[in-house]
Amino acid sequence: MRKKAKPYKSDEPVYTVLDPRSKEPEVEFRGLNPRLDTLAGKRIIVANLHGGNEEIMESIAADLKGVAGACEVVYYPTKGRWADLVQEDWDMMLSGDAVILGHNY
Amino acid sequence: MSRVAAHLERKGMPVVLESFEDPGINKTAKLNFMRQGVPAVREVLTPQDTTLKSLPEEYTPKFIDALTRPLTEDEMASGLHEPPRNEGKFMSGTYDEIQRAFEGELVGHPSIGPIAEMTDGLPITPPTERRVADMLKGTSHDPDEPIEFTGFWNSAKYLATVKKVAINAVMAGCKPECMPVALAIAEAGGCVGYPGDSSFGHLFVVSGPIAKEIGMNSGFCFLAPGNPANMTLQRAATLIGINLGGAIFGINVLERTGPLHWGTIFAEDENTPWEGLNHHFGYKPDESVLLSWEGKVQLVPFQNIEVKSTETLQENQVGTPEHAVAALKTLTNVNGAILSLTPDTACFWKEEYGFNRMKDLQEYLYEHVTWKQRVWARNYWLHKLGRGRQSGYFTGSNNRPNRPADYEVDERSSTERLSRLSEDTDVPKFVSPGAVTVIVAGGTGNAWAWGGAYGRPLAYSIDKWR
Repeated sequence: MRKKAKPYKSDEPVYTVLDPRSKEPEVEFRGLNPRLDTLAGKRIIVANLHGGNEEIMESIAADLKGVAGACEVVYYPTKGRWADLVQEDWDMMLSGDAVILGHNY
Repeated sequence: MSRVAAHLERKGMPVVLESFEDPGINKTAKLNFMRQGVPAVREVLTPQDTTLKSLPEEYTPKFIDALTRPLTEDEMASGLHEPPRNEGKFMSGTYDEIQRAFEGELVGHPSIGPIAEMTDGLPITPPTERRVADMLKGTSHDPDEPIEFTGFWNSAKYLATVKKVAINAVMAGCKPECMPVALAIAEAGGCVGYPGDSSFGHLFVVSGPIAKEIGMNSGFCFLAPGNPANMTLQRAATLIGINLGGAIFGINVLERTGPLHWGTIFAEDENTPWEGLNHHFGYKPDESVLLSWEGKVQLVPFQNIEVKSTETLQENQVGTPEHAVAALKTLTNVNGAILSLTPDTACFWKEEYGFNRMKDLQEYLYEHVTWKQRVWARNYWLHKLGRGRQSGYFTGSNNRPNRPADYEVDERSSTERLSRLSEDTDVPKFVSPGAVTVIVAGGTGNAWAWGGAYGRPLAYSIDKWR
């Protein structure tokens, strides 16, 4: 994106500077859980974490139900917000076979 | 969002995330997925259009696909992610070469211009070992003492040290005597910006003797350029946010217009007729303290806005508490507010209106800045998003759990009480008298400024960093 800096002339002072950046901790990461082989007979939770734009999150659940009618689709607005969910929220989301998390704020 | 998705995946639940289609948001999300230990979270990106009531029909197959398509090898991979250590020497070169290296590749969000990587876009003072050693003379703390940063939006953790703060203070042009303030700014998290747009990218106020010791401006033009201590500390706060706090403009700092000032800092005037903010926030009157607002802040000179007509020249120039009430009534945010008075105005209001303590003025404003119960009852921010509650990201308690609470919800503002009142009742707009922070600063003569404060101010000792 930018041109390479010209080499410095010998009469210019040269500074050795320290790295100003912080570092992040190492992270052990894992792969995703297997996806569903079919939606038939499955329970899908559509969780609205943010609390805004209920209509569009509800419509995702309704549209999914309309196309994949053999599965149970539950629209669930969480009691807590995304940053501080309550146990009831976790219990509900873990009651399904898969979760769609949304906010669409 | 990424934290919730990762937690559910760790519990064995297949997750699909619905998210706005925005390069900045999406890049931040990818980084956060890795930080949460589940880097491959599947997303369906939807239009960033809040007027939509439903998604176009082509989106439903995308959700089904994300739920059912077999995983790729990359999506199944596990391992150890080792971020760069960023330690020691960065480079050697001439002044110009160093400036270019600190600017970096100058890439950024597609919707904005190029963004510097390690600076605010201006040339920096080269942080040599000698300059950094001089800066460290401004504190008694061990250079290797750890300071941890938590990203505001991105649920990240960044590990830094006292020496890293000194490096950024050098780059900003600070003098060593400013180092305790720079460290308090770092403890407060630096200037990482607020969600949404505001006058200030972050607001800090210094209260106590150190302001005078290091030559901070609390008088005429306290928000204007010119004062070395204010300006370099303001810049240090910005660089600390970028280099230590993880702020990347246009990527995880997504203010649509951006603030007028970024990392603003000024001092409380010592000629306040009331107790200092240090004392007000539970510290000793002779202790130096940094106030840091945990959410966006506005500050508007009152003479720039017609909030109420005046009958006399005195009223026009000084304004009255009644004018302040009229101004604050226009706020749509109810978490808090700021009222900044010049020392002369503060003295006049104290003598003329009997506000013998700062708390008396706060109580007056709390009682008189009202709205109708029916407006309170349907307020989107309070009830949909819950931001009127004194907990959560916008009030500091999540990020800074050990900070003493400066105010809690007053019983008179409790949901239990307000919900029982009739629709036409005037009810307090703020959750507590303490939600309006009163600052005395400015030149001789009369003036005041006002504005909303999205989050609460928290106080940090500066003296502990001497």
